[in-house]
Amino acid sequence: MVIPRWSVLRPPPRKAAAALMALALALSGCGGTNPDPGRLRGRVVLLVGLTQDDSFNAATRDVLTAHLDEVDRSFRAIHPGVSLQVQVFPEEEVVQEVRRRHRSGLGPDLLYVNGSTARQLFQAGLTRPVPLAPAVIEPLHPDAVRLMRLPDRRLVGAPVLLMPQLACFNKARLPTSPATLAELLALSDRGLRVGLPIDPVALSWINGPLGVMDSLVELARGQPLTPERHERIRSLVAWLHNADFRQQVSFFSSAAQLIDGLGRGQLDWISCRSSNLPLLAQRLGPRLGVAPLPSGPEGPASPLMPPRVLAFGTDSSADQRRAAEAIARFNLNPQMQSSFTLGTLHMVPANRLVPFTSDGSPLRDALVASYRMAAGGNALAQIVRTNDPVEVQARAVFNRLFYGDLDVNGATDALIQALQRGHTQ
Amino acid sequence: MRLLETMGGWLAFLERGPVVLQLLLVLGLPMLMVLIQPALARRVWRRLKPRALALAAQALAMVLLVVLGQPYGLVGLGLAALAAWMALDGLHDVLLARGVPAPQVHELDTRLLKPLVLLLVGLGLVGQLDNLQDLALISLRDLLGVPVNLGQLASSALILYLLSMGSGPPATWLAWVLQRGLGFTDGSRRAVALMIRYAVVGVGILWALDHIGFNRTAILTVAGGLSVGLGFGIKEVFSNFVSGIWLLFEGSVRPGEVLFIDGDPCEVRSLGLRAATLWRDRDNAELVIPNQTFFTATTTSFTRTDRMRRCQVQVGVAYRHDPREVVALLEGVAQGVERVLATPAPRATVLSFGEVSITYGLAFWVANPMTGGGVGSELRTAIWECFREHGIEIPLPPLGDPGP
Repeated sequence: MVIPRWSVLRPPPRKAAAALMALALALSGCGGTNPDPGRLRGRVVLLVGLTQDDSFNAATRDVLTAHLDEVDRSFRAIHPGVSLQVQVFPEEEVVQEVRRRHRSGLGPDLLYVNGSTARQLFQAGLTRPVPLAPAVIEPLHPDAVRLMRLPDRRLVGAPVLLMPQLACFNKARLPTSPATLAELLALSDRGLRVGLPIDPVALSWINGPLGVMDSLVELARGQPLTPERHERIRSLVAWLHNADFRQQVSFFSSAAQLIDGLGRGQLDWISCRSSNLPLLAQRLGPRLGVAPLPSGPEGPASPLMPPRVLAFGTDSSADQRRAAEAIARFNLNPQMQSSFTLGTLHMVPANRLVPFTSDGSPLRDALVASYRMAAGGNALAQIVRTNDPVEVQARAVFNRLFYGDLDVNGATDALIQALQRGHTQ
Repeated sequence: MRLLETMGGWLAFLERGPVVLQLLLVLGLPMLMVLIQPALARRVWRRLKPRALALAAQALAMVLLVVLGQPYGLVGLGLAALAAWMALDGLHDVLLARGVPAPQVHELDTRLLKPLVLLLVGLGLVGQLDNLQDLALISLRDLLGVPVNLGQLASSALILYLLSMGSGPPATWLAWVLQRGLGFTDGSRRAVALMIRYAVVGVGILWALDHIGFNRTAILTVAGGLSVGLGFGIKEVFSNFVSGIWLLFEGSVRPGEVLFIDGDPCEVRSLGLRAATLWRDRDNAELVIPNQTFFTATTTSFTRTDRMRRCQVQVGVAYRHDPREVVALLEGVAQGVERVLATPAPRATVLSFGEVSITYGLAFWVANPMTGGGVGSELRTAIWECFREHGIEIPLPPLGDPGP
């Protein structure tokens, strides 16, 4: 029995070729040109990075979609010719995914990501500088803007929301969060399981209570080492060594491990970011407690307040660029920022013109308190960023300290060298 | 709804010049090559193939885009798709050259490999336009109270398709191994292979139901609905399916068996869910017969206990020849024909006394039941030659009286 080959069965190639050529030419006409350049139109591709590793599920997607649909609806009320096409990716995959799409010219027009991701995207040539007027940027939180600014004054992302660091704890194990570092260690001696990050940037909230922030910043800026600075830095290392020596205090290499530990009931108290709250609330329910981070003998905590930013893609058409910029301006205006805050409940608006005050709920109280602490500024975060050479070296020093490879004096010297070397690089 | 909106949103990329340029190159270049290939083949090189030309043109276009710093990913994807398609054509030819039966190669090519390539290219394209993981979360309508998303449905359908289409070769191999170990017949081996496929697909269906999240109550509801359906619309389908499984166990209609259908020996090619496919040698026709036909009607099989077939040739010989001499000659002739089995031995008998001749019957056995007709022809030719050699007359019937 003879089986016909497909090539025998296919339609005459000339006719198929002509039809497909016509289709290709028709496709080329799909974009068209804007007959009214003054009027915004087009579909803007918005890429959203999800901040938790394990939160990529239908529930998270639905919450996010509902929120973005609201933004889309509000924006279309003013610009009916523009719509949003939302793509969602885990934050850690954003750079590689945008790079892959950029190779095909299919990169997003607008990206809503962490500030650190926006920096990586810009360094990889996958985004363009923020094209917004100074009047739009000026009301935004200056620390967040400074984090996004390059030495040549260009911005790699426009801060939209801020995510202050907080204390997250299990209320079933602890009715209220400790107010000071000393109380935290004392509670751990009585069985409270405490989780802290190894990441020196994420851990820098303890620099304020220990009074070591200025010394670290000055060394990182190239100031000479003085006996006082040395002693301050030694006190930080000694505190970490002392904490690690305790049975119930553990240091973790990633924020996801901390969140997972608290969510599973393996930890009772951790330092977290406000963006972690939805996931923790999902896991712990009413047992989730939120409070400002503890203060210390030298002052209040110095929490980080990393921003969520809007960055601008490089593959857009002229219409898409204009529409993306309009959407960014729309999301930064005080009215939209206010509704963002109401909508998310766990974020702080980046626009300082939006009043952010307590409404009596414990969560808002903690957010407002952390915001005020963070607004004091975490100067170290402006200089040392995650995955910078200094941060990598400092993390290695902390690791060696925690594993007993370095004693307090050795770790102090190694940390000082890392800071000084970072300045010369 | 959200899926349609999302897909419609992909058209936004057509606003971008570099994207349109890549699409023109991916779609337009191969077509252009098809159009100009005859002219090029006449003037440049006769053996120039349109696809090879399109591949070269796309590769060149991609290099140019890379050199110019323009987006090239879609052209790369098109290039990979074209190369994979050509590789499959090459594989098709290699398998045929190595003696793999054409129907199997065709099935592998059209039902598994080419759909797989199309699927991978499609996923590659959609993966560039959107996030597949995100698309998989799109909620579809509830099925029997179970919320189903696109990812669950697509992965279940894909796994079932791959199992039903791709389980053939492994099942055949496993059946071959079992045949070596247990020593059963070729027909049983084919039956075992088919049963393994049914089992694999059955497990796949159970996995798919579990993957989608159907609970037992929902499955019972489906079963209840099916039982009503069986009573009305799909009774015949179910009857054929059950008959097919029964016949496989019974072993009377298994692939490789030879059955007598409407007076012709036919070989069973396959036993499907609904019908069996038989091949008739006489006119190279394929008969598709519902399974329940074999289940309810008498079936004549030449291969039930062995594959031998007994055939008979009749010949008329003039009265003047001694029947004992004729019988001996006929048996001798039969023993000289290669495809006639020596054991059981061919046997000639006197069948009847006709008006002008004595009718003899020569019974003989063949190993392959499909070859009865062909061997009969060889035997008649040999008888004619033998009778001519020995002066044995095959009388013609008397002509009628021409009349006054």
